[in-house]
Amino acid sequence: MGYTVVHSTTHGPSEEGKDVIALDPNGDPVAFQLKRGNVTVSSWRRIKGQIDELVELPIQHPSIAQDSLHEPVLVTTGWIHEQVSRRIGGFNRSWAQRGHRPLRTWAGSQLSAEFKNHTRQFMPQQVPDYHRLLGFMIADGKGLLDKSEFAILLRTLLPLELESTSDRKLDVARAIAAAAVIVEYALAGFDRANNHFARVEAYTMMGCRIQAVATRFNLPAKLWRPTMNLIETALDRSVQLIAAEALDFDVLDQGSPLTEPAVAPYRNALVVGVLSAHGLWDMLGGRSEWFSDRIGQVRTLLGRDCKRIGLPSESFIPPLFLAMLFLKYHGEIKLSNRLCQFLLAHAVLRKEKKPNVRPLWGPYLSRQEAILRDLGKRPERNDREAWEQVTITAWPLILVAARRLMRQDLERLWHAITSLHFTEFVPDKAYHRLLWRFENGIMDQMMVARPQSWQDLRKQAGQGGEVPASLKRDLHWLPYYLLVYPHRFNPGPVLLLDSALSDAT
Amino acid sequence: MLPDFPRVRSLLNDLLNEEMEQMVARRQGILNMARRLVIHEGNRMRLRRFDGTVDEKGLEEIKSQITIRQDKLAEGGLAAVREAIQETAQDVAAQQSKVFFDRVREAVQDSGQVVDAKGKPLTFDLVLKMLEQMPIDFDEQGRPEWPSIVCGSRVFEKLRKMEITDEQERRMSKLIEQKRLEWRDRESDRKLVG
Repeated sequence: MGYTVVHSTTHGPSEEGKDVIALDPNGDPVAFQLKRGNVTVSSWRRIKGQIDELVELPIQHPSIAQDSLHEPVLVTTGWIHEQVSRRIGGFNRSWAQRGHRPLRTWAGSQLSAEFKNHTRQFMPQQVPDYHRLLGFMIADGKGLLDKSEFAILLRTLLPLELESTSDRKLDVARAIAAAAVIVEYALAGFDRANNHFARVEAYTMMGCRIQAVATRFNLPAKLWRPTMNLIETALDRSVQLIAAEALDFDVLDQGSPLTEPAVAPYRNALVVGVLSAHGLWDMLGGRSEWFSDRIGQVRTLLGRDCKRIGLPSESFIPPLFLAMLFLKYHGEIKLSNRLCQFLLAHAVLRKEKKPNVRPLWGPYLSRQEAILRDLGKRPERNDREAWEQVTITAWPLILVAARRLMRQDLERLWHAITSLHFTEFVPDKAYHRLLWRFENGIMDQMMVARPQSWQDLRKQAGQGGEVPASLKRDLHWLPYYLLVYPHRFNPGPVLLLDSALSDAT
Repeated sequence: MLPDFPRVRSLLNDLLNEEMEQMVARRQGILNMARRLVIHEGNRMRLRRFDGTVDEKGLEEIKSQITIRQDKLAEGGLAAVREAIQETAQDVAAQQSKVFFDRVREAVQDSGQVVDAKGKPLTFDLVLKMLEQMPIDFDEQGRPEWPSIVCGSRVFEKLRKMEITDEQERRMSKLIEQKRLEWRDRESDRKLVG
């Protein structure tokens, strides 16, 4: 396939008959109208207006030249009735006379063949959110994973809302196995682009969703563990590929060298994070062919005084925190402490409500948007969310610093710390923390006492907080959980990870 | 299907939505100056302050509707839509302000910071009494950061024309010095101890 998606209307009705607008491998524009089920004569009559728009109205998109001729494609999960195919042939002749390109159709059987060509697998079950799946499949797969979109796909594949009965358990187990295959299809675009970081994020989200579902339906391990083992193997393979690529990195492979200096620090931060996460995963008993000499790679990517990394938002704190732990537990205590000081200073001082402070955006903002804003893009006019004084990631860092007896460093920052609102989402049940977002729960904010007792702070640092039971059991998932869910960078998992590593060494 | 212009409709929708948001913002008054916290997940909010007090609240729904008579729409076109949107914006802003001031009222009542004028006219003494009840911060140059006063236009005129006696001015200066001391005490508490 190899299409580059430039626009997708997965959230609402199609625009001018076009659900997805893409560029084909030659760079020519293609517009897709997506349908579920069979296209019969009567359903054809219902959609004919949209098909006319699909074929006749030019694509209105800033990435596509106004006068360019696009190829219209009708995609359906079912089959197209013979009579409809004949009608399409007739319309195609008429459209051609008026200067339009003919309508192409991709029906279920053809799609299955495409799937087989690309994945050499088969569809295990009906896909409930076909449009979204297709959006992922035909995407060029070069950017970061759209985690909100992917979370919606996972929610439709593995719903939590069903009633829990003993019959249901086998259904859920089957859905877990099927979801693993469907997710592989969804990741085909990332696979083609060798985008291993996106795959790591997707596998982590998939693993967390399975753990949430297994907890919700109280599934015995034999019903979900085999799928988790597959996911862990795939995750391990993806990180090995990232590590190899990072060692042999060539600027020219990544696109325009002119934009490289701007994006390199952000990429370095994420690569440091994923390499460190895997190092810690290995230490905590994850199955891996890892070797600890990646520490040299992490040190190089960080650069002297962390000068080679970018920190646009709180969502970049977890990857660097993982590096801090990875360095510490491999004997690089000095460098680890310097990184801790660096993170603390950024997490606190860049939240101050003062003029000329470079904002540290919140962890709910996507990493891509945070990078754009760090490089100067202004927030949308209606997005007036405050970034000052509200933080999720600073409090766990402060507790870790208290554990490390970094009192002097904390004292230097304490005045600024007292003005912060430390925030944590506390859902109704601990396993809801494994979900990307959850609607029931409390957004808890707290401020430190004035004055704050050092002894009390040390006591809190020793206590930790709430962690889903599955993460307490499978500790090696903690690093990836923090890497991929930056808004869950809370005292519970952060301090548990720190303690677990201390025990492991 | 008759000819239609989906692209134009979509752009117009965006424009009207933006106009509506701006209209609401213009009518929000002091609320528009408040810091905005977005609740990305969950359905409740809790704040645990440095003094140990806790405030827990659910979310309140604010909704309004746009009603336009069909004949008015046919005659007035987009102008009729804009007029209807203005009414809706006014309604949304009024509801938001009500929620805001209800919450402020609850908070000041809970902390005993209410000054009841008992029907007497507004005087500078009353203003001083209000300020006495409130913590006041000072900026880096040592200037007090005065709170905003929210009032109607009549009270505003009265405040503007209010004459201050020498004795009241002396009391005001004394109050500022007292507030400065209190602020210094508060500031000195912003540290790690023990």
